[in-house]
Amino acid sequence: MILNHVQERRKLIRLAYPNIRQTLPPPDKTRDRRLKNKSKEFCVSYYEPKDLADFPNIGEWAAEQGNKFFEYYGAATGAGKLTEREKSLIALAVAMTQNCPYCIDAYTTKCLSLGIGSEEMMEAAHVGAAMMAGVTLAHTTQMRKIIKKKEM
Amino acid sequence: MDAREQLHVLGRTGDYPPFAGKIREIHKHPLTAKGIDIVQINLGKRCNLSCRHCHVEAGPERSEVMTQPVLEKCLEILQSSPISTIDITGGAPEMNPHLEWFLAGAAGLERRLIVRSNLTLLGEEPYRHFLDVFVQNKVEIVTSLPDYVEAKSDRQRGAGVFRKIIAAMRELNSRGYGMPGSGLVIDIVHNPVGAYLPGTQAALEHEYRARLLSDHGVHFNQLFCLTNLPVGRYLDYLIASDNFEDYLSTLCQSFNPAAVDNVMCLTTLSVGWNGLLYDCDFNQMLGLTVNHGAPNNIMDFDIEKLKNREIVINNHCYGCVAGCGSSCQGATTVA
Repeated sequence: MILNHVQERRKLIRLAYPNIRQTLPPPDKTRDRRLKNKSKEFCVSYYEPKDLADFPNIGEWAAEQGNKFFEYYGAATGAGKLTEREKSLIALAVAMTQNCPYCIDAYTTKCLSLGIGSEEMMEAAHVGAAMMAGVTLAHTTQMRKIIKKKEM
Repeated sequence: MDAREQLHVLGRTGDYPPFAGKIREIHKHPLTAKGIDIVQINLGKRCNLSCRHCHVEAGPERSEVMTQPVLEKCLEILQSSPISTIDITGGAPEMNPHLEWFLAGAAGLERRLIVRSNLTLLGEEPYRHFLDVFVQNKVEIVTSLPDYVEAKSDRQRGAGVFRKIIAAMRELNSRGYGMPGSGLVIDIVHNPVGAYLPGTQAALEHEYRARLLSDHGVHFNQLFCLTNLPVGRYLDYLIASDNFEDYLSTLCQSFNPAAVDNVMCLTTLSVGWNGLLYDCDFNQMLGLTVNHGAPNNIMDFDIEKLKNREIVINNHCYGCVAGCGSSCQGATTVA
């Protein structure tokens, strides 16, 4: 991400000032590599796959609320009128719309475990995507109302 | 990878304790057999298939096949011991030339008689007669069908295998297998097509039943969920796909103390193609014979020394106690 940003900036500068290349230092591959590694470190330190195993410990320092949450979580995601499969697909779609890597990991694996096919999971992803697009566009109502009110 | 190398790889549990330590933590060490209720006989490693998950690493090129003297000894022991279940596996049991003779002898003992068949040979000569041999001997058939989706199943077992299984199941259904009131049982084994654990057995059984009936008109009795243990070809797959560490961690994280009380080795004795004795089929493939003073060859069988033997454990055992537990009879605890 950081590396792309640097490259993008270089590209914009070159477009705006075609001659500036002469004054810029030559591309520094070592620095690019360092930035790339830094970007990796950034991602790794915040979102490590193995941290998913820490989820059962989120009740630490607030055991009562934690226990209540897990009780609720279990009841909400377990089979009821809806099957475990249906609930897992809903959870997967929500996980993707909320950009939660832990939930995406957990629910993709759970869907696989329940025999849910990749096509079904992709359909669920599109429901999430369509909802996000719809939610965004539905909010243009507010934008359009304000524009209409404030413009002459 | 030979057995020694596999055990070496399995030693890498990372942040998690070895299985023996975990069992000690919950005060269940040593794990001790409760008796011998099932004798699982592995007729050999010859098979017409070479499935990517096979812990036996069976295939057409394998030559290990159980001989008649070993089978005779098995019958002699079964006759004189109160063992309720005879569970025949392989390889492809049909490729052992003594199977038909053995089934007739075993059926005469009036025990529960199981054959684990991949079914694909039943459509070919000289194996078609086993369709009737199984009926005559009231054999319970257990067959592996990793998924109800053909493409997914064939990714694990080979192109065209799914269709052959469905064709054989139709023939077995027409003979009464899987049909109410027939007394002829055919069960399906589901195991994940990849590096993840099986889901809830009841949910998967419901889905299999609906899909196999609507898409293929096929009936079965029960679905058993089996966790793939990191042994044999499945271990090779995990390493080659860079999934080994994550998978072993998942098994360790999913440790279920309740499943420890129901592991199949507590009531099972596994007989290898050459007559060596093991606590389970996985130990057999890792070359871990029964130990701790119990005789490790069928020719020295002594039920008194074997029925309460200490089980030989290693880190692959995490697989049988992960989640809902896993055994040749499916999940060992209820979700």
